[in-house]
Amino acid sequence: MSDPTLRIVFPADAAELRDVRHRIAAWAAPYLSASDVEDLKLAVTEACANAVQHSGTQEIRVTISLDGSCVEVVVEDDGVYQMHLSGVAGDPGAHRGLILMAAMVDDLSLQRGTEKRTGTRVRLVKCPA
Amino acid sequence: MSDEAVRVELTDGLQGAKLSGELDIAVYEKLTAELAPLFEATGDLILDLSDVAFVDSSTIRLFVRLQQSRKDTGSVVLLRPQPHVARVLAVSGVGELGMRVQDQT
Repeated sequence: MSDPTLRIVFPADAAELRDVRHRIAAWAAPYLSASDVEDLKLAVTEACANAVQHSGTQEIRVTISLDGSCVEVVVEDDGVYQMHLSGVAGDPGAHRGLILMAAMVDDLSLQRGTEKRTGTRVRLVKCPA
Repeated sequence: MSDEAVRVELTDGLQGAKLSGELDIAVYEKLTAELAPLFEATGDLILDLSDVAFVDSSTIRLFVRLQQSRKDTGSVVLLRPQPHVARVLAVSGVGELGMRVQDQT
């Protein structure tokens, strides 16, 4: 069987996210339930949105592949991960994106881009029920 | 481009709105601008979500800001969410933030 890995490279622009998540959903549909595909769409959107809004990257690279029976999505940028996101004092929702992203997948790992070593890598894994 | 299918219809008396489409950070500013009059109103605010196909954390942030604008005079009522939108609302704990999720008015 040929390697079904899909790689999407796009400019760090919020207007791109809709198309990216639709392509991710179409790729994942044979492997996951409709509900799990929706979870993955949200997780990927949040990961990309972080890169678009806070990292300073010009480009985002999304790779989707199979890891055993699970679907793995890696979102990479060339920016710096901001620990102090929107910085809205007293806004209980300031870190909601990260929490939502984590809640939508079976596994999440985050390698942060820093000033010393730029480039954030988020790995999302969604497994079938 | 991304927001071409996003629509906001305010209902009479500024007590609600019907939202449609995929709501994400690309349309956050547009949504905030179109819903601006609702931030000035008091009482319950009914948002019909039945035609909303997608929400993200920025959408939740907008709902939270609308709830805060009520200043304890009422609640944001999130009406008829599709199943995955309902899941996102539940995970986000909108109930604990003073909002209500309902299947009918």
